[in-house]
Amino acid sequence: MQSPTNGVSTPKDFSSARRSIQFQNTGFPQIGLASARRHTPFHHAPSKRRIPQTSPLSETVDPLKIALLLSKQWTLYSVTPMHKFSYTNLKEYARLLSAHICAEKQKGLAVEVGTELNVKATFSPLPGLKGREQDPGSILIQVLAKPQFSAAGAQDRIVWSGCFCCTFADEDTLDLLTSETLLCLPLFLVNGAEALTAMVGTWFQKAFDCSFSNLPISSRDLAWMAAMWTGYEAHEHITATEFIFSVPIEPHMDISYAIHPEDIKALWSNIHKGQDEVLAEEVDLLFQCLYTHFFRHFKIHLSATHLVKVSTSVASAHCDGKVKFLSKEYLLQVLGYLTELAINNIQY
Amino acid sequence: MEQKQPRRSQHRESMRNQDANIQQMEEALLFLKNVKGKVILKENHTLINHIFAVENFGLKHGIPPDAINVLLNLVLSGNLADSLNARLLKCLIPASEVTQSSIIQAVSLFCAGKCSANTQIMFLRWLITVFDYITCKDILSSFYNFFFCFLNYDNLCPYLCHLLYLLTKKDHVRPFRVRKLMELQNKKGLQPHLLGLLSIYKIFCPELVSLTLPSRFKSYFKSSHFLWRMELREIAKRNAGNPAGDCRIILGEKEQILSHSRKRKWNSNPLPPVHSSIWGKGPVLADNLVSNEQTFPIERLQTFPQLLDNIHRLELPAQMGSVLKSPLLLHYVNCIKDDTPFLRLNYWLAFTLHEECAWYKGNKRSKEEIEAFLETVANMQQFLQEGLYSTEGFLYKSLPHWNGSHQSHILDLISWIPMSPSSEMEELLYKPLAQLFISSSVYFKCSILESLKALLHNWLVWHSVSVERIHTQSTNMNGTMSGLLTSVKDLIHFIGRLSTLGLQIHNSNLLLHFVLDIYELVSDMYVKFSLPLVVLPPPGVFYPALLSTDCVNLNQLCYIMYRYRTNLVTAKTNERQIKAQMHLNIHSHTFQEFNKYLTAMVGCLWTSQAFHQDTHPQGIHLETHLLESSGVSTYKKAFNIVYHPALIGYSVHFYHQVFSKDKLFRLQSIKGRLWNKYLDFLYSQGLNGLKLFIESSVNRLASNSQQQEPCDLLLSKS
Repeated sequence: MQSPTNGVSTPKDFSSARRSIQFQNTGFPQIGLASARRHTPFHHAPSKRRIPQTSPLSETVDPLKIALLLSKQWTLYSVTPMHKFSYTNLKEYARLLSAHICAEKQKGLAVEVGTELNVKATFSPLPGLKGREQDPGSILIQVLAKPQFSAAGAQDRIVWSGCFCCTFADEDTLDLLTSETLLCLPLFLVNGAEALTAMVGTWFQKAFDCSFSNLPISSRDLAWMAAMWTGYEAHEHITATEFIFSVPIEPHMDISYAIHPEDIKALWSNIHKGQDEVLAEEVDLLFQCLYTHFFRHFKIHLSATHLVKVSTSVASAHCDGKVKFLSKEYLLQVLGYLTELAINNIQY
Repeated sequence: MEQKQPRRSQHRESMRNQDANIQQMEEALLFLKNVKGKVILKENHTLINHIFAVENFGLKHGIPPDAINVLLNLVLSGNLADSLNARLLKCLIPASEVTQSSIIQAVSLFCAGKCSANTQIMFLRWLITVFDYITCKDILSSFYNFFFCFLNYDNLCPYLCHLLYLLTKKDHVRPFRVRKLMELQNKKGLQPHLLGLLSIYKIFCPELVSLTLPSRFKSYFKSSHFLWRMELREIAKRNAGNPAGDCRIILGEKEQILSHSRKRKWNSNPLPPVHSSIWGKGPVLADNLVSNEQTFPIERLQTFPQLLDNIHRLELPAQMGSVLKSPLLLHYVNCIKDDTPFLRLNYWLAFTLHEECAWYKGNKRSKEEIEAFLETVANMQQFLQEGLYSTEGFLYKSLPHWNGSHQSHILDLISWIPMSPSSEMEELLYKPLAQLFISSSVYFKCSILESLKALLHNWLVWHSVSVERIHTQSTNMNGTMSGLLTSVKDLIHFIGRLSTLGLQIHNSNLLLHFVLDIYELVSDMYVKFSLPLVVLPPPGVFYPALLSTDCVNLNQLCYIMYRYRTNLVTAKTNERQIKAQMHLNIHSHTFQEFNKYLTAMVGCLWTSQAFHQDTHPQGIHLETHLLESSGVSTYKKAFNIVYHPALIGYSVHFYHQVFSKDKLFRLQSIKGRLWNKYLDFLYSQGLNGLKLFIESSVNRLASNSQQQEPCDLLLSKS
C-alpha cells in the first residue's frame, strides 16, 4: 500500500463515494446483491491528519462516568454496524443482557459454579462523549455482581465494563457504512474477564447482527499517535514518554526508550509546523531524529525493530490493541484516532 | 430403459434382503427369548448365527422397543458369555424409544448383580448413551438411590457419576449424599467424575457443598458414550427419513464440522442458525407491535409454496449469516429492494471470511472447517448467480498471500468476481494471479484458466441480462456499454497473455486444450451473448495450436476459426442492415488479423503454402532458401492435412486401409480422388471442427478435385 503522491488528506480517501453511482455512469450491470453499496477493498494510509478541536469534556459528560474510563487498561475491538439498535430501549437491553448472562452462567459450562450468579447488566448513555455534533452518542455497559456473603445493601461490584463509541468519525464514511436501521459505533472498549466479553459479544451478535474483531494497532499508527499526543498540552499526571521496541531476534528482547516529556516536546515543536494538522513527513522526521540519537549512543538501528508500545502523559497504547487513557482533556482526541482505526478495520 | 432395468432389480433385491433380515431377526429373538440358564459359546453355531442376525439388524435399522426388552433381559441375566453380552449391547441401538418396563426390568437385574462387572459397566454406558431415548425418565429418577449405593464399587463409579449427573434434581441433593461423596473424594483423591457430580450438587445447593471446585476441569466425564454415538446418530437420521421432502436442500453439501472443544469461544459457529429477531417476540419496539400478529416466523419456513404465500409478511432473520444455507431465504433476500439486508450480509460475510478463513493470518480454524465454509459461500454465489463484494474484497486481500491452499474453493470464488473497471481488476486480480500463474505447475495453470473461463462466462451472462434490461428501458446504449466492453476485452487480453506465457513455458497439449476451451467461448461472444466485440487469440496461442501435434487441439482450433468466421460474417451483415443501432466495436484490424490467420491455416492444411503465404509478422513465413536447406525435396507439397503432425497418424491409417501391404509406402499417393476419400475418412473419425472449417472456408470446385486452390472468403473491411 502506498500513500498517494499528491497528498490529499482526510479519511475520505480510503473509501470512494457510493460506488453504485459510478456504476450507473459506466454501465456496469447492477443486478441483485452486487448492487448494494461497496467500497474499495484497499484504503491508503493518509499522508496527513487533522488535529481534532473540541470543547472541554467535563461540560458535557458526567465527570464520574469519565473517571470510569480513565486509568484502566482497555482492550480494543471493532464492531460492524448494529442493526436496529435504539437509544430509547437501553433499559430493555439491560434486562435481556442480564438474563442472557445469567442463563449462560447456569448452563454448567461456566467454570465458576455457584459464584457471581447475581449479575446485572446496565446500559448508560454517554451522549456527551462525542467529538462532533453528528457523532452518534456513546454507550457504556457495565456488568455488576453482588459479592457473595455480603451484607444487605452492600454496593455491587463492577466486574466488567465495555464502551461503544464513535468520535470524530468522517461523515461521508459513516454515511457509506450505514443505512436507516444500521447504527455505526465502530469502536468497542472492554475491561474485564474474557468470558464475560464473550457473553456480551455473543448477545450483541444475536441481537443486533454485528460482529466483533480484535483491533490491533500497527507500528505506523503507534508512531502517529506518539507524535500527535506529544503535541497535546497535558496539564496533569505528566510522565515520561516511553517507547518500547521489540527486537526481532531469538530469544525475545525489548528495548525501552524513555524521554523526558519536555525534551520530546521541544523536538516536536521544532519539527511540527502546521496549526491544525500533522503531516506524515513530520512523524517520520520525529522518529528519524529519535533513531539517530539512539544510534549515536548505543549503535543500534531502531529502524530495524518494531515499535510495540507508546506511552505518554495523554495515553498509552500497545500494538496488541490495549489502551490506557491518562488525560481527561484529550480523551476525545485519543478516541477519535481509535475510531478511525476501527472504521478502517470494518471496511473489510 | 436399459439403465432402468438393473436399478429396479437392485431395488427389488434390497427389498428381498430386508425381508430376509427381518425374518432372521425374528427367529433370533425367538431363540434368545427362550435362553434359560447358562449357554456355552463354544461350537454353538446357532447361537452365533442368531447373534449375528441381531447385530446386523441393529446396526442397520435399530432395535424396536420390545426387542430391546428381550435382549436387555438376556444380557443382564448373565446367561451368556461376557464377550457376547458386549456385542449385544453394542448393537442395541434403539430404533425409536426405550420403554419404561424395559428400564425397570433391566435395572432390577442390574441391581441383582447376576452379570459380571464388565457387563454392568457396559450397561451403564449404554444407559448414558440412550438417555434421550428413554421415554419415562421419572422411573430412572426413582432408582436414584439404587444407583447411588453402587458408587462404592470402584470400577462402576465413573459411569455411575455420569448417570447420576444426568439424573440429579434439586431434591436428590441431601446432606447424607454429599457426605458420602466427600468421603469417597477423600478416599480416592480428586477424581473428575466425583467433582462433576459434586459440581451439580453445588449448583443446586451451594450451602451444602462447601468444597471449592478447581477450575481446570473442563470435562468431568470421560466420553462414556463414544462407542455408540456415531451409530446412534446414523440410525436416528435414517429412521427419521428425509424430514421435509424436496425443499430442504442444504447448500453446503458437507455438514458443518463444529469444534467440539467446550471452551467458550466467540463466533464458535461460523454459520448461525436461522432465528427470528429476538425483538419480534417481546413488546420491545413499539413500531413492531402492530405488525407482530401478521409476521410469519422464519423458523417455520420450509417449503417454496410457504415462501410464496407469506412473502409479504416475512421478517429477515436476526442474523443475516443464517440465510447462507437456506435456499428459500436466499430467494427471499434476492427480491428485496432495501439496502440494509445486503449491507448486513456483506458485513457478516466479510467479517467471517477475514476473521475465520484468512489462512495467512494464522490458522484459527481447521482446514476442513475453512473449506466447508468456503464451499458454502461458493455454493451460495452459484445459487444466486452472482458474487458478493465481500468475497471479492476477501479475494483481493488474500490473493497476494495465496499459496494455493483451498485451491478449488478459491478458484470457484474467483469465477464469481463481479465486473469492475479494468484498472482496478488489473491491480487487484490480474497482477497477483499472473505471478501465481507463472510460478506454478501446469495443472495449476489449467485450473486458473478454467476459473478465468468461468469468470468470463459469468460476465457475459450478466451482460446479456443487462442488455435486455437496457433494451426495455431504451436508454442510450453507446454511453453505457463502453466501460463494460473495455472490462471484457481486458480480461480476454489478460487471458491471452497468460496463455501465451504458459504455452511458452510448458509446450503442453493439456494446457493448450484448456486455452482453446476459453477461445471457444471468446469466438462466440457476438452471436451467443450479443456482445459487439470480437477478440482474436494472440499469435502465441494460434500458432502453437495450428502446429500442435495433437489432433484434438487442431480440431478445436478449426472449430474456433469457424465460429469466428460466423461471428464476423453476422456482424458485418447486421452492420449493413441495421445501420448501427448498435455501434460495432469490431475494428478493421480484427478482420485483417483474421484473414492472416485464415491464410496461414488454409496454407497449412490445404495448399501446403503455409511457409510462403503466411503474412502474419509473428507467423511461420520462411524464406525459400531456408526451406531448401531443410533437405525436404518436396517442401512445396509437404505440409497439408496429409502431412500435418497432428493428422499423420490418420493418413498412415487411411493409406493402409486403401492400399495393400506390399505396395511401396508413399503418402504422396493420397491425392485426387483419394484426397476426397481421405477427407471423408477424417470426418468419419469425429473431426467435426475440421469439417466445419473446410466446408466453410475452403471453396472447392466440387467437380474438379485436382484443383486444390483455396478460394478463401477473405473478409476485408472495405
